[in-house]
Amino acid sequence: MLIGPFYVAHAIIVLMLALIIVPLATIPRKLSYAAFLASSALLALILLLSIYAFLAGVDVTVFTIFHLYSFSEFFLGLFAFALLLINALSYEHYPNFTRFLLFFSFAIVGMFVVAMANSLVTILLGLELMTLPTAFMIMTSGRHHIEAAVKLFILSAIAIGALSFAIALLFPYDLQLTLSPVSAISLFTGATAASGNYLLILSIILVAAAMGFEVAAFPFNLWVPDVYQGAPGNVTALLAGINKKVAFVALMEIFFVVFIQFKPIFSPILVLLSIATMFYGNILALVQTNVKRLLAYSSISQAGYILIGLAVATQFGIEASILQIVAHLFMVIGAFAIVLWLESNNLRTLDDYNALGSRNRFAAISLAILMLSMAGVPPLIGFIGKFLVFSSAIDSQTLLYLAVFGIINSFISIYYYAKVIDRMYSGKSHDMLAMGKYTYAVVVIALAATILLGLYPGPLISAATVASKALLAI
Amino acid sequence: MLALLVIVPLIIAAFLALILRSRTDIVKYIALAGSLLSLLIAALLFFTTSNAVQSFTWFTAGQYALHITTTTAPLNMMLLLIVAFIAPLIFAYSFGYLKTPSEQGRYYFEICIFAASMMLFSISANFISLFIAWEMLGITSYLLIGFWQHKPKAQLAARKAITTIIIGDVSMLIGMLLIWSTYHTFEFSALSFVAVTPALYAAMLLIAVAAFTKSAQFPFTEWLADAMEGPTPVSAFLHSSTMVKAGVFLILVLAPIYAELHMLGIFIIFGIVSALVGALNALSEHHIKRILAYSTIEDLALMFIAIGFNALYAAVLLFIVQAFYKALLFMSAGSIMTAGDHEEDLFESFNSTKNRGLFITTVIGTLSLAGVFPLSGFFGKVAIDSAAANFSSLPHILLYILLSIVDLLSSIYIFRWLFVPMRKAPLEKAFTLNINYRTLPKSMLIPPTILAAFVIIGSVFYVTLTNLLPLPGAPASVTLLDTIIETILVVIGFAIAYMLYVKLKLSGFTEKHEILHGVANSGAEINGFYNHFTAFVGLIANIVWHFDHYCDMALYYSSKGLVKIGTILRKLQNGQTSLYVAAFMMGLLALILLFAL
Repeated sequence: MLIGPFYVAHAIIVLMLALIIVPLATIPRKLSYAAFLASSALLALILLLSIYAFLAGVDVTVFTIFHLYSFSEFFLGLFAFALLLINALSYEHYPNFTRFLLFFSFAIVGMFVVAMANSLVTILLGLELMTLPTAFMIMTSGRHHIEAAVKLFILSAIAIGALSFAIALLFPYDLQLTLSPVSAISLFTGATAASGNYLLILSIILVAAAMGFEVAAFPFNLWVPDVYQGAPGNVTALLAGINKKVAFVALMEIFFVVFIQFKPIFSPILVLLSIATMFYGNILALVQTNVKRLLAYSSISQAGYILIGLAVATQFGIEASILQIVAHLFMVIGAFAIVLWLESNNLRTLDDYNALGSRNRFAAISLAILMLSMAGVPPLIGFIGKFLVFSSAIDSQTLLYLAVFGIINSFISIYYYAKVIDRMYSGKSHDMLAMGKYTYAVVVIALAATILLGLYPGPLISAATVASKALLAI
Repeated sequence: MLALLVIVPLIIAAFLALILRSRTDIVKYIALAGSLLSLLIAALLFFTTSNAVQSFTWFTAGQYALHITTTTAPLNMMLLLIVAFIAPLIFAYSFGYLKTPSEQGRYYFEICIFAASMMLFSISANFISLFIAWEMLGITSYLLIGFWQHKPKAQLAARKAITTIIIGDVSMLIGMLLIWSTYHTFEFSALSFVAVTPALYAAMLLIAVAAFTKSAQFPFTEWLADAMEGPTPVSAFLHSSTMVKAGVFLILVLAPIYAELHMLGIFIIFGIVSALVGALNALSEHHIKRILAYSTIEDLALMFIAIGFNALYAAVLLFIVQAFYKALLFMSAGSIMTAGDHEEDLFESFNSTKNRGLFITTVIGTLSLAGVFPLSGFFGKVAIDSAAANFSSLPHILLYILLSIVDLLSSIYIFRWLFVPMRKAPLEKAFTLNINYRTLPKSMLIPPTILAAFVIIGSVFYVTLTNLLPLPGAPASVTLLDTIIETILVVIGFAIAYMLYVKLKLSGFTEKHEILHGVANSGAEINGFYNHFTAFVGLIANIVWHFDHYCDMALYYSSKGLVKIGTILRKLQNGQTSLYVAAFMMGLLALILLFAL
């Protein structure tokens, strides 16, 4: 091995901390471009290091609170890559990028902390560190964004409260609170049977509710459309593309490591959340006229699909969910990049999207492809993700109906995706729109990922297999 | 992946068309060149490679590997050749039909992808490649049917089509996943050797539903008639070799499995109902293209009936010859419409005899559809009648009678379709009309001529099919009895149509929903017999149409209902943070209650 595993882990942590210093060093001098370059470089370094660590199979624990292993390395790399895209989007969108970066860098550290967490408290802190700065990012973007920020703030406070309570309830069962399977024996009372352990079950439920908030599962998700619509587009892309995925990582870490012995208890909860979320997202998306809000609902329904694989709770199910997470991450970032750019040109509703096909051909065709992928049309990546998720449900035999619900939902979704595509290609206009170069680059990358990973998903699937096996091996 | 090569030229042409869409002068030639190249490759494949199944792994997940499998089996090659042969003719016809420069790029992009999807469909040998093609066909047909976006009717038609198609896609996907969950295979070839389980029955039933939606069989007939809002070359393509043929072809490929499961009967039942729906609707329709659309439903239904009798050769025979005469008839309809300044009403179309080339090819197509010896349509239809001719039990006899009625009806409506536009135009219209007929572009006249030639020589397939295609079951045969019956029916149909529309100059059966009202007011010049006949046919058409209409409405309202639920749910999202917090707490409480109880 070229670099010792311990050094890799330390290097990643040091780079994370360096990210926080970047805005602090650049704000006084208003060095937006330098801040952008520095933060991008740091993210790229983290990306490279995590790829290296993943390929080398690094497995190391740092300060007992961080654990670097295949699963966390996979997501570290994925988030670093996605954050690079968001970083570029934000740089183009904000005249005062450094101020944005101040909060953004904290959120980034929060995400990485969750991905690398080795204890429940680390996860809690990481989630907090991610959500609060996100609220500030929204708030500082302008006066009319404050409502969305406050909503996010209040509801995330409640969710974090629920999660803290859940962790507190777990204390009698595991004094360390590390990410390791918790046994059903209470260290204080000596109660043993899982069914009699109401504290433990309550803890699982509270985790489900808190995570239900973070991953936008019905009924903990009513805030989502308001916040997604109210937030500036790059933050919406961040929320839908990364924050939610971080929450899925936390959910997987808690359920599949800590509560792994209580699968019969948490699996039905996830089944319920999944079905409700899919139907809620898809049916409400049908009646939306604001494209950003439509995408918000669509991303809710995508969270429902991801939950299917988690509800199945087998190695294959987790692998499928990881695939769907990756798929949705790229699709949603690409789509919100286009929506953000159109929003800055005052195009918001479906009616505004009329004739987009003739105003900017690239944007229209990209959005169409991304939406087809979200709808699950082969051979794009959205199809692969959905296909694997549904297959995992079928494979489990007992949850076959989840796959059927999923299929029905993915066909309902074709209606509203087709509606957007329809609009873009109806009518004609000679009023051309020009796309900024960073937005263009982000869309090209997201599109390339959507198409190429759809045509050749082999490497991605094997990486997801390694990650999911590593998660279950703890 | 030799067989996949065939779609490459079309895909390249499609993207070239998209990139070069400002250069409207060359886009069409690119598309034509692409399709000709595909035809060349298809022909090479047909003549050089033997029956070879090739597969490559798309991806592996868990313990399963997903393969894209293609085959060059004779049956698949047959469909591939038909598609590849019709495509350039359609493209050439489009040269004359579609003249608006701004539409060219989009049109050729969509239709090239459409053709490529059908070719992919025709060579696929497992559910994965089939589903990709199936889905692509659905989306491109949606785009093509709604091609004229400025027409609200076209938008509605496209939406109706996609709704029906999505129902098919859902049942297709559930069906194939059922098969996978039981047998862990997607290959068609593997299905013949699997143990029969209830899951297989369910899956095959779902796949049959999917085929019915694509092939517009009862109760999914309505979308196909509405799809006439699309450009005529698209209709010609859609009805002859692509899209609607996909459903029949899928069942044709899977027929041995259906036979093993004793499920062929459903194709006979749904087939005969669809045939009647198609024929009766065609008889009471006024729209020049919708008549042909309903007639396609009837043709496809006949193929399903043949499959139902396990007479695969008869089904394939009609499958081949129908492609030629239906493409030809749609091209004729398009030419008549173009000359009449996009007049779509059959009874407002006149003077179709003025262009001799057009008229002769139209007559050949008409005679073939009606089933006149020795044109190819005759062999296709009578082979199916002969397959169904079994007088051992009452249901069989009933079925044969119904088939004969369908034959008679199709003879009446197609001669009506031929005779009505032959009438002399009113003086004020005649001048421009005649000029229009004489100045029809060559590109709109040559493709139908080629097709007409194939309609005539297509009869050789009756003899050679057994050598070309190895299929289970007896070869298609035409018995003397059926020939006589069919000929008598055609003559009767011809006579009725001639009496009604040439002698009496009847203005046709009135529109479906006004039929009874229309008959009551139809005046004294129609004598009793025709009056009763009209009323009778109209009544049946009305009943069938109503039933069909209700199915259609059910579809419509179920989609409407979803939107309604969405509107109600939307009230939940009133922007009040307290409500969101309450929802969070309620959700938490519900989960706790779930475990407490």
